[in-house]
Amino acid sequence: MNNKLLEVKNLHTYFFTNKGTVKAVQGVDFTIEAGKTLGIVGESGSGKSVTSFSILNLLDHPGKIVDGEINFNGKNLVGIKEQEMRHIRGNDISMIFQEPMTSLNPVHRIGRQISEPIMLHQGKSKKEAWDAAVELLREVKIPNPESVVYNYPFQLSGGMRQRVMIAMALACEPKLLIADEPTTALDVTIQAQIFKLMNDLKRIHNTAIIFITHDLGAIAELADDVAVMYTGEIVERAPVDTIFDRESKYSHPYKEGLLKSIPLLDEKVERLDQIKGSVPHPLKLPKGCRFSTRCEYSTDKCVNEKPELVEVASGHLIRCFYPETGCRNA
Amino acid sequence: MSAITEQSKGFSKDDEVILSPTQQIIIKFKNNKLAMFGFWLFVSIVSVVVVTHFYTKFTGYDFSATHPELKNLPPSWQHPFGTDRYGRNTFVRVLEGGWISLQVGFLSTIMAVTIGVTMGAISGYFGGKIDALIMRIVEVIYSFPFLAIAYIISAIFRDRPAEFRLFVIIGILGFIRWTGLARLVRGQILSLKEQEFILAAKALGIKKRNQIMRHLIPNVMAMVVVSGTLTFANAILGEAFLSFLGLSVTEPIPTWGALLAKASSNSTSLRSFWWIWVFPGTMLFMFIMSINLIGEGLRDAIDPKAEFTTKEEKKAAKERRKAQKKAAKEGKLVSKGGAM
Amino acid sequence: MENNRGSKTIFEVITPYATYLGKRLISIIPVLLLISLVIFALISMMPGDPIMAMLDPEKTATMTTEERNAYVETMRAFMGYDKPPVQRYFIWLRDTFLEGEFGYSIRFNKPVNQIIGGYIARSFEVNIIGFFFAFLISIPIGITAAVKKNKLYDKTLTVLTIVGISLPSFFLALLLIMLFVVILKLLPFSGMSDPRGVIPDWKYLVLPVTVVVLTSLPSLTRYVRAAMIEVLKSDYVRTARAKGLTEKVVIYRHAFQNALIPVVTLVGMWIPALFGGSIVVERIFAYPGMGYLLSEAYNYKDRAIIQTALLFFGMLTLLGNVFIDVGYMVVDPRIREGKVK
Repeated sequence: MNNKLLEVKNLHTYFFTNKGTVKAVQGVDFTIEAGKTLGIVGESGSGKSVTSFSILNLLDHPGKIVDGEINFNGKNLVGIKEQEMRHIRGNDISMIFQEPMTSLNPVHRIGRQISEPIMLHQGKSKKEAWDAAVELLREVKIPNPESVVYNYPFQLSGGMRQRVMIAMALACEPKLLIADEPTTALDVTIQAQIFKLMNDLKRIHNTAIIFITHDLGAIAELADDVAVMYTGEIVERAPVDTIFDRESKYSHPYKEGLLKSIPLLDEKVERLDQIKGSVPHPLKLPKGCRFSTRCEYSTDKCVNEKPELVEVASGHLIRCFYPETGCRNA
Repeated sequence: MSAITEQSKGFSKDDEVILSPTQQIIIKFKNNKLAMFGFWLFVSIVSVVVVTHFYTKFTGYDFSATHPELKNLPPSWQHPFGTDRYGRNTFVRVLEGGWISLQVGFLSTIMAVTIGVTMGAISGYFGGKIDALIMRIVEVIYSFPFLAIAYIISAIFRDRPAEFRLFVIIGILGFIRWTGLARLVRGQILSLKEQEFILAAKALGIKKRNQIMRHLIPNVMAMVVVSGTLTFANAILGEAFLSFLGLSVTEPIPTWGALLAKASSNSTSLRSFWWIWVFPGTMLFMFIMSINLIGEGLRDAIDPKAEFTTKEEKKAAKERRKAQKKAAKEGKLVSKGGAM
Repeated sequence: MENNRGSKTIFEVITPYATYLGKRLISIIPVLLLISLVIFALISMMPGDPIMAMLDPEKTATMTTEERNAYVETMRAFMGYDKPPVQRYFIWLRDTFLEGEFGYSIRFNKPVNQIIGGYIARSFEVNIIGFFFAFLISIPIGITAAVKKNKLYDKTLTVLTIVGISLPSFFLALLLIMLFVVILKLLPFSGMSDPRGVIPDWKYLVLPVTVVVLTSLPSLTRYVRAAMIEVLKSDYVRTARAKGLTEKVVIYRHAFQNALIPVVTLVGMWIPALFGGSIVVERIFAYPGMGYLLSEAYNYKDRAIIQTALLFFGMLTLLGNVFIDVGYMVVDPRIREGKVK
């Protein structure tokens, strides 16, 4: 209880478009402790990014948090003044985005972009902040930081830019770092370097990380706890080992499908499984279980009634009427 | 719950009917109030102008005949826009001036679009030296001070009959405006050329001419139509400019620019005979505005990214928002109560 | 902006711009020659004998036919019209570009280069002041419209800008004259100064400048709005917000600096267009600028002035293009750093 850094309770975020209300996040709960990494995994449209934007209240126009609490350090961030929120953004909670190529301002020098939050939140002078920027670049293992600070983003590669983004996010030593698919746009080798960097930084600074991805492999490398999201809801939440335990007694069929779609080195398979069908349209969600349209174990009950997120074992929560893998009619 | 089912109904309807791009553009355009206003304004101005032109032509009404006994009369039922200093009916003359504007607008736009699309397509498709040459020409024409050059060209043909001068004006305006279109089409073709369907067409051995005509041109047509409306408005404005300076078709044939110019020479005529310039000016303004509104509407309609909502959807969204606000209010009250 | 790697002298900062500017200026020469050729050809095609137009009827009335012919021939030789057109073109080129002699005005009875300066200056005065105000006003309203996209403010502005774009400058000028001169009697009708010295000079500038502002404002605003809407959608704006910066800083420092890049194009294209438009505006207000000079010269068939004025307008367009390229270099580091290396 006392070391809970962030507690998200019953979060509902809706987008009020002219075509209808898109219920992007519906009743998401999770907690995260200092120094731990929570991985949120899901397909595009599962509400994982919207969840992270909700935490910083950076939702775009028709989006709104309609219900729930986001308790950060014991303070509810939902409905606080924009001014207070600004003080938290980039200072206590910072964020790394998916597209390093477009997430940096093309007309400002790297140094200026990194020193900006330092000057803003720590009240340092331009010179001090600039020196701090050089140190931060050194910390994220950018060669020649003294000259890179004078560069513009277009002069750096994608991997370098993502390091710059990380340096910028770490500038004010945040307590929580939200990384929204930070490596999706990068090459595999660069991905591995970025993961290592993030793990090191977490250890050194005791920063909590929310790591959002659709890549289960990345989750396995970084996360302590995992939440699997589907159409705006958490369908399974557990420590990382439980999630990846293929022999586990309990499991959500959706996660099983995700696991089956990754190849294993020691197993020879003819063809990788895939989850059939596609994510339902956000305005046409099924009445019962959201996954019922694609689930191979779906029953009448699944189609007509909504399952709740139930704790099936200690620390392991599943939203399914048939969480036990052995007791399903295939 | 009912809102959701309604919505899903709406969607399943959409799923069944697959709209062609043209149909989508039409629907989007029809749902744009401003654009529809422009459209009807345009249609009414054009029809009144065309009807008047043919009416005077077939009844033999002489819009340039002078009636000294009727000179400088203010607007009345007999002469809705008053009369000028020769006693001519300004109403008929303004509408007749519209006929000139229409001719100039349509013909020079057709000319500009034809040359522009052809040159742009050739330049974009063939590239290399042809492209470099055409783009150089475009750059040179683009650098010409249009109005000043039109001045001189008009001066060269000063002594020719009005009909001939009209075609000179159309030629100048059409020739000046094709460059922008050529650049636009070239850019579009360059990016389309790299796309798969053109590669497929090439791989299938389709003739170059057919590749351009059947596959590339249709894909840039939407942009051309939007740009064409702009050209149209600019051509009409250009003609009005020139006739205001006395360089277009001259007396006794009326043009909007020339009608305006007459009143501008001194403050007495500006005030005392206001009907002589206010009406043609307003017509010119409304006509150009109607074209601009249509162009704006088309631009939004062809943009696949532009949001659009039908009237029904707007209504539904409004109701939902109301309900949402209500619910939020109640929710707040409840949570406050709970906290206490 | 941060000092580039510690200390760089102004000279070091300016040099790349100057080099690039020089290169660009050289590159417009071929186009300029082509334009001058077209202008020369068009002027030669103008009907009427230029020498006959400049003869003083009183002086020639007393002459015999022979005397008159001899006089005409002398004049022809003096004006250079005795030579074949090709030779005349090259002489004109040499005089204009190398000697700075723009010919002899038959209307003013003076060399063109003695009179043209004042007209250019007055045109610049009206257009630059007008454009400056238009720019100053359109940027904040364009930005606000982009920020409040699809709200009432934005929708109202959209309608107003379409109305503004559709208002021909000469109709607008007449409406303004009607209101401020005829009805309210606040401002003088036309000219540039009061011969009695009662009305201050600036009052003569008000209406022409207002027309320039009002005709430029709608397009500029729409352009700024469109550019800002694009930029506000971008990821780096979101990054800036995530840093905890205030909306003001996000919009003006992060977004607008990027939106400025396409706006540079507009400025470069707009200035020549403004001067072209001033032919009508200056004529309505009888304001003696380049446009007014050209329309007068047209009435007097004053070829030297027509040639020079046309060349001036052509030069403006070309310089506008150079301005665009150099402007890009100033506002866009991607282009600047590329050129420096």
